[in-house]
Parts: sequence; structure tokens; C-alpha cells
Amino acid sequence: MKHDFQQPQCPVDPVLALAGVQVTVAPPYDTGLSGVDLVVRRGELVLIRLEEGVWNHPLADLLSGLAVPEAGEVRIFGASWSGLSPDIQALYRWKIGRVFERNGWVSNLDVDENITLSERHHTRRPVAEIEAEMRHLASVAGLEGIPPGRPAVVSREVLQRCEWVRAMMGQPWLVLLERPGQDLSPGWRAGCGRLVAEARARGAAVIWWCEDDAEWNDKSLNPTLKLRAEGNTLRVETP
Amino acid sequence: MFLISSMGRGVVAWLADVRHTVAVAAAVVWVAVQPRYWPRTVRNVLARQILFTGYQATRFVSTVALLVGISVVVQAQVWTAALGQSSLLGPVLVMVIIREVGPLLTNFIVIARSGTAMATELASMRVMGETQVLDAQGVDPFIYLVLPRAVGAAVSVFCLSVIFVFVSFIGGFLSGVLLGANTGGPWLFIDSVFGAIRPADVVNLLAKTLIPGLLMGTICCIQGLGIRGVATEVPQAATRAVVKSIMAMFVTSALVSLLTYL
Repeated sequence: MKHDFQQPQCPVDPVLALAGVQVTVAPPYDTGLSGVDLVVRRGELVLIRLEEGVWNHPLADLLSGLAVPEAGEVRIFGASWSGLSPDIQALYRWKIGRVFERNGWVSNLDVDENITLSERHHTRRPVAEIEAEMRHLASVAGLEGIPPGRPAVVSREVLQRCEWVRAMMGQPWLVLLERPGQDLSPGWRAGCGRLVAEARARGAAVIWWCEDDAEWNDKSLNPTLKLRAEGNTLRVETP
Repeated sequence: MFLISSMGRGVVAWLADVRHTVAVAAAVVWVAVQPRYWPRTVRNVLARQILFTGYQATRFVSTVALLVGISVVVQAQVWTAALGQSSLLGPVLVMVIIREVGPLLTNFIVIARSGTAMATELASMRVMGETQVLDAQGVDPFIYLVLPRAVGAAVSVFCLSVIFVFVSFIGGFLSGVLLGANTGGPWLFIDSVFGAIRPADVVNLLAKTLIPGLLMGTICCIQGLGIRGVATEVPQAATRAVVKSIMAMFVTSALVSLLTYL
């Protein structure tokens, strides 16, 4: 499938840096964070093993600037979220692809409209070009095409793969994959892995949350860093 | 003492609510005049909003306007003729239909038809976490959800009011002819009505449609997005949106009428 779209890489390295980040456990999060330091550079993959039964980890929202730490600093693409205007924050979030842990779809838009929303909103790229990129990513993800209709009428498995496609649209500089394989049948990691490898080769940093051994021990993912979430901390494990 | 303090708290809360609504409506206007806040996705939502709130309501608004025309215009024709004051037909119709009945009934219809839908839709999106999904992609919910809905509602109310005025005049005149009222012919009727319209009436119509429409859209969005994320709050949000929109409409209408006659 022809796809020539090229975006500039993230001009700043490291892509993200957390210093002494602290978040207290409070709804909607099941866990907090205490004194977390983390630096992720271009092309790196960080695998985070979540504790069983822990959902709504606050790290993805912190990295997206949707949650504010009580202490410490979250720097993304070289700037601290707290020092950015709302307009610049929106532009930064456009360069963050994300697979959501819970519902990740806008119900009154079709699946393809959902996938292309961010690109149509932030850019003036021709729609045909955006759709070509979507079809290319769908084929890499192992989809025969993007299903028509609203997310509510699409199977959970296809929808999950479509979330990967959306996360990679517009060649993001940072990709957040919160349990990207939930509800999928065995063998799903090949498609997701191909997308991640393509993104890393382009220079994107990737954070991948998982909770099962198969993902955690999958050497083909080639993680740069493995972190185990234990209570409020992230303990480093050498890949 | 307790009674006075509780009344005072109520008034302070009401004033804070009014200030918040006016501030959001002003922010909508401020953002709406800046082209950079109108990317194609927002223009698309605006088009859909006008299609739903405006275009799809034309048949119902026209039906109501026809019935109002039959009852109001015919009576005005009959009574001004009976009193030998046919020359007052135009000013009476302009005062009743263009200044008051047209904008008020159109606003009512839009609030009942689209206001509830708007508040319910946004409250459901909030419950499902969809606003956060938008935010996480850098799509500001204020720009993507509130701006096109508030502007779409204002434009739709204005256009529907114009349709209402024309249909009620045409329906009233035709029914007058059918009932044998002394209409004086179509050209005389048109001349009488349009000759009575002054610039203040046009300003009045604009103010009584664009401002309540904008406030209605803003209030419904505030109520819909203002819930904490519990499903049982969705119908409550819709009810609050309708009540506050109707109140805003009457207050705006009264103020504009006062300013027109002062």
C-alpha cells in the first residue's frame, strides 16, 4: 500500500523526562506515584508491568498533561506541561498517540472519523492523504480495512486494533499504549509490534503498559527499559 | 436571620451562575471571531448542528407559524378593519409577530427540540469519558464541542425566526382571504407590513434570536459537560439546561423589549 507521508522527528531528545513526580492515590486512579524519575529518549521503548487488578494508572494522564503532579515536574518534548498555554498543550497532545485503557472512542463519530479526527483537526493535510496513511497503518496492524459505522457496532477485537492505528496516525513523537492487547486473541502482538517497530524506527518514544507474562517476556519487542509498578513506585528491571 | 442568610446565599449562587454563563458565552464569541479556531473538524460539527437544530426543525416551525398566522394575523385583520383602523394592521403585526411571538416561540421550539438533545449528548460523552479522549488528542472540548453548538444554535434560531415570520404572515393572509376577511389584496398587505418595519425592529429580531440562541447553546453545553461523570446526572443536566435556557430567553427578551421602547 502506497504511503509517502513523512513528518519531522521530535526536535528534542529526551522526548520525556519525569523528575520527582508525586501523585496521591485518588479517584479516578487506583494507584499513586511517589518520587518517580524517568527519562525516555527517541526510539526507546519502556515496558511497564502493572500489578494485577490495578487499573487507571496515573502515568499516562501525567504524560499527556491531563493530570497535574502534586510535586515534581513532567517535561515533554523539552517543555514542562505546567508552563505551556492551552493552545500549545493541545498541539503537544496532537503529537502523543495513545491507546486508552478504558473507552477510547467518541461514540457519535464513525470509526474512521475517530481515527482521523486529530489529523483533520490539527493539520491541513488533504483528507485523501490522511486516509491513505490510515489504510497503510491498518494493513500493518493486520486489519483488512477500517470497519464502517460507529464504534458501538464494531467488535471489541477489531476496535482494539483500530486504536493502535489511531495511536500511530500523524507519526507521533510519543506513543502511550495502555494494555494494547486487552480483549485480543493470542497472536495479536505481531501486528502491534510491527507498528511499534515502525514508530521507533522513525524516532518515536513508546511507553507500553502490560500485565501478563507473555508481553513482559516477549523479546521481540526489544524494550530499552523494563519497569515494574509496585505500589507507588516504578522499580527498574534490566531487559 | 437564617432566612435572610439563606436567601442571600441563593442570590449569590444565582449571580455566580449568571456570571459564569455570560463569561462562557463571551468566550464563545471571542473565539468564534478568530479563524484559527475554526479547523475543518469544528466547521463540520457546526454544519451538523445547523442541519439538526435549524434545517430539520423547519417543517415543525413552519407548521406552528402557520397556525399562529391563522389565529393572530386573521384576528388582527378582522379587528383593525372592524375598528376602521386598517392602517394599523402593519404596525400591530410587526409588534406582535416580529418583535415578540416569532422569536419567543422559535426559541421555545429550539430549546425543547435541540437543547435537551445537546445537554444529554454532552452529559453522556462526559460519563463515557469521551471528552477526555478528545482532550488527550489535543482536541479542546471547548473548541470542538461548545463553540460549534453555541454558534449553530444562535444561527439556527435566527434563521428559523425569519422563516416563522414569513410563514405566519403568508398563512395569516391566505386564511384571511379564505375566511372572507377584508384583506385589501396581497400588495396592500405586503406594503402595510413591510412599510411598518423600522430598523429598530430588525435590531430587535436579531437581539431576540441571536442572544438567546447563543445563551441556550452555551447553557446546554455547560450543563451537559458540568456533570461529575455519573449516569443518573444526565437527565438532571437536561432538565436544568431547559429551565435555565427558558429563563435566559425570557430575561433577554424582556431586556431587549425594554431597550427598544426606552
